[in-house]
Amino acid sequence: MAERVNLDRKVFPKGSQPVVFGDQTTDALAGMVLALLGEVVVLKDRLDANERLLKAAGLHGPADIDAFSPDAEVRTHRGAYRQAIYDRVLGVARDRLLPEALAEQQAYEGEVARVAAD
Amino acid sequence: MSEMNHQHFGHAVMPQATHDEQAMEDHFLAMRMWTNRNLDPLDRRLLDEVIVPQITAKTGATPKASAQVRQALEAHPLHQLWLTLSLFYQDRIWQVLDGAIDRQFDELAAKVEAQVATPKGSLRLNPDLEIPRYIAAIDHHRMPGSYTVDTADKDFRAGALYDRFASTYLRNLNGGWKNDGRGHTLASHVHDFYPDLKPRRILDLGCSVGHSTVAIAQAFPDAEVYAIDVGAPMLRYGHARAEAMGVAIHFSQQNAEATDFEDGMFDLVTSSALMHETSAKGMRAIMKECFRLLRPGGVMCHVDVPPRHEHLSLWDQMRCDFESHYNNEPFMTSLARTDWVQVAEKAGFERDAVAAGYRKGTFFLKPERSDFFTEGDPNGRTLLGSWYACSAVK
Repeated sequence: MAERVNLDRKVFPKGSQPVVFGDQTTDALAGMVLALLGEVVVLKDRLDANERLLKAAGLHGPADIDAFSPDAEVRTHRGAYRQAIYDRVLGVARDRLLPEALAEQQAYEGEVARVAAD
Repeated sequence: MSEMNHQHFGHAVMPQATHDEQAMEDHFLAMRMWTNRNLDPLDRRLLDEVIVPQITAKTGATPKASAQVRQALEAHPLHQLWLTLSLFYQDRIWQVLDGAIDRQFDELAAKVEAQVATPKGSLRLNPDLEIPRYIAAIDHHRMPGSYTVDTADKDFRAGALYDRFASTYLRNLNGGWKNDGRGHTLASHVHDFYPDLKPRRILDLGCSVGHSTVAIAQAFPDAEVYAIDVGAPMLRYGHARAEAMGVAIHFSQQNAEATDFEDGMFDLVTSSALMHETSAKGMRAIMKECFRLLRPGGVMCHVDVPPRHEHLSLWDQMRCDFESHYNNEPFMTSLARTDWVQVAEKAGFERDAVAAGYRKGTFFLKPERSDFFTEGDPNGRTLLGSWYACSAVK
């Protein structure tokens, strides 16, 4: 595994950061709505792919999905990707609204974790 | 993640996408298309039919320049929506592509290394190079980390990110996954205007990952081709990409304003979409450096983004200004007002030996004079699909 450095430099672009809708909170809300739109579209694509593949393979249909009950392994898997989705959707507002002081605190807490782990 | 549904064939080091990464990328393109088709015409009408009459009534004069309408337009919620969608698209697509590169970082690192094991070309880096302020101070086109930040030892991330983004962004406008339309357009211009030029040595300035350099090298197969850029991760990736495509290019990390090549070393010096990411001073210095590097009778040729303010409607002027105001392309709107011929003349070229105008984009060598023209669009639209070309003989 390659050791990655300077990762803080690739979180935001350096430069213009306008407030568009009059205040940052409204911009953050608009950003979250747009991020959700992306998640919904990707999800729909994935379902569409799934249904077509299943149909082609002569396997189960929508009624079997309605009756499906996730086991522990599936719940763990879903828990992990949900966190990534929240990061992409709710992270939009976090990135816009986080004050400078808190950003530094977050970086510092990363250092605390790092010295404990090396 | 070895089974990918969407293998991209531009070349062997292109970052790949899982189903969901590809779906998200497709979503962003589709959302941008929706915005272009549905909101652009409304935003144009908002400006022409609401904002302009308001300002005319208030001041007694019809506004002629985008600066006169900026404040009123940006205060309108419909334009704020347009702006939000434009900014959101630009910021989040970088993040999605960057996440995909993080996921396959080690796999890509191995591919990059394998491609440069027995190279036909070369790579020369200079870790002490001073990065010009116009690159160091901001992240162009909102690309996080810009061209220069290394995120690992022998990093290639910026190049991989830029390659995937640029090919996606300009998918049907610039040669698909090879993203080499500008290079073919430039080579066509040179073949058209200077049919007797048989360059032995070519230098491509601000080459990024070599999108245009490879096309130029293919158009002049007998020439030795050099390419420079300030970004080390761009060059490491570009070197691997060129090797993967079987093209010998000698890359080095240098500032186009002051290179270490000897006077008169080149027969042809080129740049593609470089100038709009420099500055007024930077552009003047680069043209002077072109003059120094060319042998007498040698040719310089630059192609860049198409907006020319004198040919644009108010809305199209605003669209160009957007790049400077919000998309971290600060020089773009000034460049659209810059007289290239004058800059070339001040750099030492004879005025009569300079040509400047639009060149219709092509994906293959097409040296036809009918593709070169100097008139703008009759309706003041930006000439997307064409590039602004400036060439000169020393």
